[in-house]
Amino acid sequence: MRPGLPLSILLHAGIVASAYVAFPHTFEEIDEELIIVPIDLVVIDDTTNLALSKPDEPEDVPEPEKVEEPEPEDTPEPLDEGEIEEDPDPRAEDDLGEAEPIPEDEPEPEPEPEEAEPTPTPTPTPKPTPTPTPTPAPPEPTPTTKKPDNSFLDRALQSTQQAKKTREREIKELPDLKEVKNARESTRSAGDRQRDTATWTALLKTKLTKCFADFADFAEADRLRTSYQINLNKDGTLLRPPRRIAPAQIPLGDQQLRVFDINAQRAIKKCEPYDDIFPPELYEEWKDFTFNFGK
Amino acid sequence: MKSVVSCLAALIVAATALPLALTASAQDNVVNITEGTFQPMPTAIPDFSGDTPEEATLATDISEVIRNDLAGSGLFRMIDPAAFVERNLDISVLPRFADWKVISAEALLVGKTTIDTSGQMSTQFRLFDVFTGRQLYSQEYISSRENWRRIGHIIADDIYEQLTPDGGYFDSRIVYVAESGPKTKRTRRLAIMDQDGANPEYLTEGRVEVQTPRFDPSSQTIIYTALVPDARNPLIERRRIYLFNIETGREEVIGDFGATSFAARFSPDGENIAMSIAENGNSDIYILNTANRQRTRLTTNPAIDTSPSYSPDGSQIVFTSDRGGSQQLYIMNADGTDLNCPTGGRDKACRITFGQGLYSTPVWSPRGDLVAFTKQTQGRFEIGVIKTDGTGERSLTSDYLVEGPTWSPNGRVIIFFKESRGGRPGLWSVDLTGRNLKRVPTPGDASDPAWSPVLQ
Repeated sequence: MRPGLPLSILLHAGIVASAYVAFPHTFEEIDEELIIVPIDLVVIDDTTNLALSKPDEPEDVPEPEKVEEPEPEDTPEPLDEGEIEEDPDPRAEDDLGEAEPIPEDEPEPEPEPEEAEPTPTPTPTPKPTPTPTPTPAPPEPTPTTKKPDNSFLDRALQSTQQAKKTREREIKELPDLKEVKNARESTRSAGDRQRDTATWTALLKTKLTKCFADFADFAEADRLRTSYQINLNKDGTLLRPPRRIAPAQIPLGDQQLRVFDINAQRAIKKCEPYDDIFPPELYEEWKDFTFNFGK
Repeated sequence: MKSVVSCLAALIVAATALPLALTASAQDNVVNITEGTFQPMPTAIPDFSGDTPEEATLATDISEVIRNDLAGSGLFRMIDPAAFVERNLDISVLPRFADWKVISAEALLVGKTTIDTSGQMSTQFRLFDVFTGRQLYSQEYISSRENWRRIGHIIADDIYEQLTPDGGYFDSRIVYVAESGPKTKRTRRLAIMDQDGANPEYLTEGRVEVQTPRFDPSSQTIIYTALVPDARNPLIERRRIYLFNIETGREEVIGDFGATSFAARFSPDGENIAMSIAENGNSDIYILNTANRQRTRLTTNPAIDTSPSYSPDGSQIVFTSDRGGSQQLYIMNADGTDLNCPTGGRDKACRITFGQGLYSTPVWSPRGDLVAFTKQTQGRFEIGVIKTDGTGERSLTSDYLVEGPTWSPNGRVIIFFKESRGGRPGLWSVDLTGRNLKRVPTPGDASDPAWSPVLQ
């Protein structure tokens, strides 16, 4: 009897330990994180004060795009292009998080200044503006067309554009929030997981529907079903060949089901890799999937 | 004792809880793919190889037949050989699947033709699934070299059967009525050809007009109706039903059924012929035993019952009747007993169409799930299909005149004859989904086609 007691204690301790390993989410606290919503404060005086008349340009609309140019400066342009080509997988974008728009914008403005240089308008603006004040930069390239706008609508438009600019600045500063985002991931709630799963499921369904051969015209389409267990690598490729979990066996003479099953296998392989759907940082949550084919 | 039990219980709990928890995420991640996307399967069929010039020529010809058959079905898209990365494939060496994936090939066929010293032709082939990287099928056929076209069809059937849910239909023939001459004095002869239009041949000389040819299950005998002048009054034409043996060319008269007998069709076992015969002004469905020529009347309704067609198992017959006030399709048991109707109740015959227009020439699909028909509505004709329970009616094609559908042996394709306004009658085919509408090549005008079973 006595030797059983320590053994029992040991095993109970093992149960408690395994429960901690097995049910980590159960013990997670659902931390509702504060979501910072940027609010633009617009000074009404600026839009209602008709007496004020500043010379503004109607070409302000394209300016916001130029305002983005200061950021690409930091990185040499051709190198970035190469990097983008080398890493075409979307996961790289995901890793960058909110910094993603920056490399995308880079290649576009690059050729423009180069081509702009030989053009008659000598506007050496591309590099020298890492400016915290982007507004003075625009007047430089266009010294010729300046129209004094006194109308209320123009003023309103201007203020809206300014608001846009401030929003863009906020977006550009978002990389700073990356830290916050990571912190949030570490404390993901059950709700987050459910939402992600629902999103992945929808995306996967769309993707696999395109890879899967139409079976609506099969003679007995309604009875055809097959299920596969999928194990994925972090890069979205199949860790091992798909394992059929149902039906256990395809009856020898069942041509309909046999072809249906082969089509399912082909679809799984054809759609590989799945890295365009899953974020690598959440690998543990999507590494295993069950695909059910059939009505 | 208690501690032992508790130890065991703890062990069981620990052993079951952990794996369950670890697989919890996999169970949550479930995707249900309930539909697919139709697109012809990209397929690569390089020319089969041959060691001698003669073998190479035969191999190329066979490959061409296979490619044409599969591409013509509308379910496969042949990849341009110019895009092939791996060339000079050897049937005994595994292909480099990556090279075929690059060009998006999903299926790859590799083959070789040889001629032995006795002059026999041997054709070997292997079918690969590129994405799963495995061999799906392999076979060798030995035949005389004159048979190369048929070998091509047979291999195409094998490929079709491996990659689609249905059996093949390429090694089959079509019998039809070949028409020639002016509209007022038309010559209508019995003609036969391969399903792809190759090897056309006339079976009758055209002295008498022929109608509604149909194959028996063996594909070697054709039943057809001939309009022959009445011996006592040559101005009157009588309908005589013939059996024509394709192999021997021998003809046999089944019977002389007066001026109004129509659309004789074999039962699936070939032992009976269903037809409509008009007596005393009333057309009804009859069964004629081919062995003893005994006739059994199936319908006794005062309405016009015609165009019977057997179900694949021979247990039921679909036919046309105007007993409901307009020409519609009905189903009855082949032995004349009552049956349960899809709309409820029991009856001798159950109506399965309720649409506007006149339904005619029903043909039961070899797959058993659909009935093809001709429908006349709003001055136009259409070819349609409907499920045997009367649901899912859909039109496949319509024109000034389309009529006489006949199913491919696998129930996937329908051939019919079509005559556009001011045009000439010809044979056309369409997939049961309504896709892949195309003309079937015939040497001249053609009507009233019937598709044979796959050749034995």
